[in-house]
Amino acid sequence: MSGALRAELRRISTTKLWWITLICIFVLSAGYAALPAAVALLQSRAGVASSPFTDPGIIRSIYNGGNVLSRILAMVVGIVAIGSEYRYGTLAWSYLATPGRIRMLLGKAGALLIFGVIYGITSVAAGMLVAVPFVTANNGSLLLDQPDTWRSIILGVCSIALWTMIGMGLGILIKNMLIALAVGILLGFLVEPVISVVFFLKRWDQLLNVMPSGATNAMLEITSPVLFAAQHPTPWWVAGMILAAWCLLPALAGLLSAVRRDVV
Amino acid sequence: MAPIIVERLIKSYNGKLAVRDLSFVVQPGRVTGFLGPNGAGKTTTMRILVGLTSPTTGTATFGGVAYAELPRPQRTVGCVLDASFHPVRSGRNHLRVLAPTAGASDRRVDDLLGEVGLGEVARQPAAEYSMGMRQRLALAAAMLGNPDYLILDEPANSLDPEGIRWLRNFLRDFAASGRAVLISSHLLNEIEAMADDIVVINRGRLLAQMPMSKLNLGEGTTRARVSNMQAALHALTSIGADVQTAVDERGAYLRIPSHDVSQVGSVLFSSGVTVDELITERRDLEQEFFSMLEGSR
Repeated sequence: MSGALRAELRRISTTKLWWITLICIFVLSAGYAALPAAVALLQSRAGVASSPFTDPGIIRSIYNGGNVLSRILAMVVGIVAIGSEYRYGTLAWSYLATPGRIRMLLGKAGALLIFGVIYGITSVAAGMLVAVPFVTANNGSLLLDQPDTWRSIILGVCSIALWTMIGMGLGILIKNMLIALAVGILLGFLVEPVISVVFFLKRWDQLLNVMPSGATNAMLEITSPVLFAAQHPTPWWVAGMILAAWCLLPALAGLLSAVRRDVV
Repeated sequence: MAPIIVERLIKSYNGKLAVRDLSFVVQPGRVTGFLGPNGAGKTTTMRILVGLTSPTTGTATFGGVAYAELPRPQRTVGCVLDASFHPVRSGRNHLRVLAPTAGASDRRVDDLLGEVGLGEVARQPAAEYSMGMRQRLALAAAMLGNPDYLILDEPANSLDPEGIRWLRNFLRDFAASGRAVLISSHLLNEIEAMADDIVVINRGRLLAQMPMSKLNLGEGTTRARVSNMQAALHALTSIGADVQTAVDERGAYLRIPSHDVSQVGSVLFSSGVTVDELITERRDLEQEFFSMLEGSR
């Protein structure tokens, strides 16, 4: 493992933010996973759906229930990883240790991705723990024998990890950490969801599929209308590429601007 | 070991020149003081040296290699620019973050913390450190890779007198082992006490580069304040002394560069002139510094 990557892993693991975020993701993911599970339970009691806990779409929605929130928290960690360096004037230390700007930022990106994967696993694990009592109490199935379920789980982890890159890009582009956080959270929690809901209600599936949350839903093959998923999603791998583009664009733009700037 | 060579460095910010065609050499085995008034371009030059700022033209190299081209720069160059730290991270963890790229073990981190006198507060968050403690932590960070060159921008800032003495001894030992130190400071008497060479710049231009020994600091001129200027002048010129008259806020006085205090004293005594003050004016780096700046205007 390169020195730059090890340095960045230590940089993240020596602040409180990473484990506070980890706990938040676990608790909130459990709560958010219970939402589609409860809806499915109500539908089943009302006789709308016959056996929702064997429906792969619903099971996947429960497993990835925390995704919508965890990805925002993962983005926050990405923003703070860069933003705090600007805020406390410590970026010079990073550049002194690794003067190659692209190498230094790749080290940061790699470390963030590793933490993103940890957050992703935590989020999905919380969803799976919530699924167990619902499924066993209702004669359902965890569908762990199906490759599609595992694909959804793995992509769920990957999508959360990718959202750390959106954060890193935002953090580089907007040097003021507090403004970057406000912009990121506002976009992630308000602007993007509102636009997505409009597209969902208008049934503009093509537009919905290219939104970050729409692409994430399509990638995870979530069909629950509770999460405003498109009726005609793109294949998971196309959705994955759309999400990767969303994540990498700000990161690349940030990289390019940081490579030229003098360090202050 | 090769010197640090700064060659024809120019840095312009939006057409404004911060560094103008600056060239100087920092020799190994010596402490080089880097002097200049605020805004002279000292910090800019030091940041260019370690690749944080890119020069408009010119080069700055360590043994012919620019900082950014060094394979593991922390093992060649140690650098204290400003003592900024993440407030929550402990001093120890700050060094541990910098250790992997410097090839330093946790053991080395703990040893260094002890060496700079931070062993007992190593696990406290940096926010609880005083400015002096931060400077010590920054110096420990610079030393992580056991470098051959040290570049320090105002490291004596906010150190207490004991800390300054410690720093002085530390840098003297470092240079004595054949390694090179470039240190900027506005504390001229500090530089006077520790530097072997000085580089003076003003408005981005080199004013002087010379060994401290060439400045002839400490050699003095005799100054006398007397009741009767005419009688004193007469008595002193009669023994062939070189006498100048000068004026300061307390009035007129005599400067006699050719004779020392005891010679001047005995002449004035035998001529019956009442002496109000008789001292040796020692020239220090501060006076040299200001006369260099005056000369550049």
